[in-house]
Amino acid sequence: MNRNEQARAAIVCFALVGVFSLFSVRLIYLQAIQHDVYVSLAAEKHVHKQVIYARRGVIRGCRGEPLAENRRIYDVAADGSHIRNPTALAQAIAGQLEMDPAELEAKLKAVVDKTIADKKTESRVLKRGVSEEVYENITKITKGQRQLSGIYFDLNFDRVYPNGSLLAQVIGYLDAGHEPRLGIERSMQDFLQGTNGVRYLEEDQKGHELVQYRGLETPAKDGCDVRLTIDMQLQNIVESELDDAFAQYKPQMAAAVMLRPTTGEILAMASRPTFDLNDPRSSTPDKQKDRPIGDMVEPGSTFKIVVTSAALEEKVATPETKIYCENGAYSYAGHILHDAHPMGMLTLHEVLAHSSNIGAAKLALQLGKDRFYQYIRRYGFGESTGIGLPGEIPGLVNPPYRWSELDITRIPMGQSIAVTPLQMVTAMSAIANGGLLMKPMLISEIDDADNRPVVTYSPTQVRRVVSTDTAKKIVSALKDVVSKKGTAPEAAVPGFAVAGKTGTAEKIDPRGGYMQGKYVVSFVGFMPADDPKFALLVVIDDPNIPRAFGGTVAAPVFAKIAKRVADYFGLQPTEPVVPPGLVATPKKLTSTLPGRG
Amino acid sequence: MFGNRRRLPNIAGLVMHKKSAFILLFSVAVLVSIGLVMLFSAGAFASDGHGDQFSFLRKQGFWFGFGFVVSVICATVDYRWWQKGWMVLIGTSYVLLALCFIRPIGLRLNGSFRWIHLGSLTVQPSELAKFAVVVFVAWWFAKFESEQNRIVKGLLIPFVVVGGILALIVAETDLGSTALIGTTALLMMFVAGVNLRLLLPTLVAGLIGVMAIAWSIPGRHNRLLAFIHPEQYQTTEAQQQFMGLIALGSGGIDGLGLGNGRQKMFYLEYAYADFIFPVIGEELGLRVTLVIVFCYLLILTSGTLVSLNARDRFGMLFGFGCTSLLGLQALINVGVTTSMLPNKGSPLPFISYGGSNLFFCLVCVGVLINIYRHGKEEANATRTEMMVRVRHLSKF
Repeated sequence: MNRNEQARAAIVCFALVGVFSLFSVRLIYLQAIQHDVYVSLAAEKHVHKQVIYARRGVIRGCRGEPLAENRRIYDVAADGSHIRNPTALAQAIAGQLEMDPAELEAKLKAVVDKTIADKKTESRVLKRGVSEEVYENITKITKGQRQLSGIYFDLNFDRVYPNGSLLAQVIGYLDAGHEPRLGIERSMQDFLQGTNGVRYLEEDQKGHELVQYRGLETPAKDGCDVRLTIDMQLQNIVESELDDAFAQYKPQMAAAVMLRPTTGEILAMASRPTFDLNDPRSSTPDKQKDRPIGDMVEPGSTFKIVVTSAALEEKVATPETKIYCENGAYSYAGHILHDAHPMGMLTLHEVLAHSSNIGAAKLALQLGKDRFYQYIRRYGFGESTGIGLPGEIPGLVNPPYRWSELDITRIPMGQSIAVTPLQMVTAMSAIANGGLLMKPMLISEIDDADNRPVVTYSPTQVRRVVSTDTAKKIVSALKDVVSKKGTAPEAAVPGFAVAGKTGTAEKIDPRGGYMQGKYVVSFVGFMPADDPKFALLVVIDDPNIPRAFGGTVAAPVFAKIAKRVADYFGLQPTEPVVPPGLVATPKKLTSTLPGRG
Repeated sequence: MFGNRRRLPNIAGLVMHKKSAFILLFSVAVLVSIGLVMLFSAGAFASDGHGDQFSFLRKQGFWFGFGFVVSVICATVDYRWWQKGWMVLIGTSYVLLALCFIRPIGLRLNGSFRWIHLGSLTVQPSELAKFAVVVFVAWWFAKFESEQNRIVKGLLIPFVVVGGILALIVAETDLGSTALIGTTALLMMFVAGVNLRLLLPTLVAGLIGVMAIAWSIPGRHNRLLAFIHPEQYQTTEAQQQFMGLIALGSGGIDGLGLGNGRQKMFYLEYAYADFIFPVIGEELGLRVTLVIVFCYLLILTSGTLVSLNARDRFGMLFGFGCTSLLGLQALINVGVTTSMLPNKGSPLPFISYGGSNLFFCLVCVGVLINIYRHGKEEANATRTEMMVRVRHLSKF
């Protein structure tokens, strides 16, 4: 052995030692310096984020009955690495999934083939949204059968609306992407949706959870339940009667709102045409519109309560003050204002009962623009009621400086002004409630998932609009509206004193002016007149019959509803029930034709 | 007598040499222990285990016992016995390598013909070939020392013999073993003193040859591309190495704890065999990976010391061949798993699952111990001679 060999061996040895040292440096670099980078890379590969879905809050009626609730549904999926026998599996479950066995088998085989080709677990959803029953049946069939393995289920929630189309526009619905549309579903989204939880799972390459490594878990926070003031019994009465009227008159639309005047609680709220909440796809925007809050209508004569009550409150007139009604034609600012039935001298009381346009105009002229405008606003017109539904509009009330010369004679009779049906019934409720305007309320309570109240709403007074005395005088006049000498005898309910006011407004042509022969007819009233349990507005847009008036179309609907509501509330009749045919003929008005407006 | 073959006395070297065998045995013991523990951990999830978590451990344990016995025999029987047996070894290697291609004895796995069935055992003939080539090259260059720089007698014959084996292994598509055997043979020839003018062209030709073959085998040249652009091939060819890096990196300094590795769970292919090193890094951390690298360093240096102190030239070359066989395998494995080298299948000696490899690694250790034992006698004699000389000088 010579030195040369030693030297060469040493060179090789040192060279290899050098390379090993290099690798050691590389190890230190990888494991100490780059540690954090690789930890996150590893987490990316192993850790799987699983969403724990929060239960969406339930929308309930005033008795706690669910109006919108959740149903467990399942997505059926096939896992390519677990399917053993596609043919047998397809035969076994095709019936449950209501699929063609051959087609299902082809699908399963494709999943298996893709898994083999990519060497990676392939899974595919076979059917979405199957019911709990199907889930249980398939589980029963495949349980313990190795040949039938490879099917798994993903739990999901589906929103169901037990009452179908009842209260549809108010409740709202969730679209296919689980986004809330319309109504309470949308406006109360923050309360209803809850917060989804998250579970971090570690998985092996084959996607099995490594239970021993289960990491951080943030539980889901379930959504809050929303309880409405809506009484579904009343809602049912209102909607069924509205349906009858809709079928009878074939109008473009109809709406009805019922509320409790003393508290402002909305008891029922309906729009026509309507749609089924469980099948919103087949509806149109027209059917989804919540008319009581989203439609701008000219109120027509129902608006006369504003000018008359203002005149009384401002002591411009008393109920007995005589007003000359120009025998049905009053020229003002170059235009002639007509009454439906020409009249001479009328008291303020009679102006309201007979719905004289000229009388109302003269009262407004006496009040003056500014005071009249003030009262319009005091009744809540021109601003949203804040009921808490999306799409509520404030209506259109111009300030006096924008009024034309003619407006002071048109606005008192409900023209040149636009309000929502809800505003109208709220204003009428103020009269019913002794002059005190209540804020309409739709939501009574919000409860968390454990049924503890989170927010409780109580009735809110907005303001005193007129004194109790003034309100009483108006109520007395409104009672006469429903009498034989008034404009709406058909609104009468035997045994009960009904107060109310008709409205008939010519439809506004979008191109300007009014549409001849097309009317929006309405009736808004409350019952019993001196101790009101409910106020109700019925609006029917363009009823398809000749000579349509509030008194002939809307008033009977009001009466039918009111009668059923009286039964439902168990109200004791206060008035003597006069058998039909024994009614004394009115002295002054021989016309049995109900007045226009 | 201070003959040409006698190494010059070197006191420091002597001291190190005396301890080298113990260092060698100690390092091997550490590696085998880590290996068995980690094999249990890494193999527990492997699909090849057929659900039996002890399957790998049992098989490896058997091969370890068998290898240990043979290794003790090797340490006892004089290593010069191998000089007579080279022809048997080379011949058997050729036969067994050829048998790999013949069914039903040969076993085709993952597109390679690397295994044969021997009764109920599956063995890898290339492991035997590695050892046979070391024995043959050591014997040839010890015997024909004076002719070793002559092209025909010195180089052509060993090239033909070794080249035939390499050709068979290449045909098995086992490029890792080919590169290992080729490099080992070249290193041995370099240490034997073969002229660099002859060696360097061979080295270059060999490199180009391996590259060309690697490029021509479909799928293999993607591995080379994957090594150059790891990001592009992250989920395909470079996936295994990338997963290895994630395992090492996420283990950090302390590791996730024994048995807590995630990458072995089907993310990292062959986590129990060629890619066991990243699993160790993931579960036991930087400290243990550095200990392992250090153990290989100790094996390398102590093996070299043993060889340099061998009694004769055959012992020196044989010992050095065994050492570089062990060292190079470790080097390639660690290099591949840390993405410093392109992905070539190469086991981590004493640790990776693989009976044939563990067996021949233990045989190499046995041979080195034997060389040490015979070299030590000679070293003792040299020291006696030295003392005689010192005494002789002191008379004046």
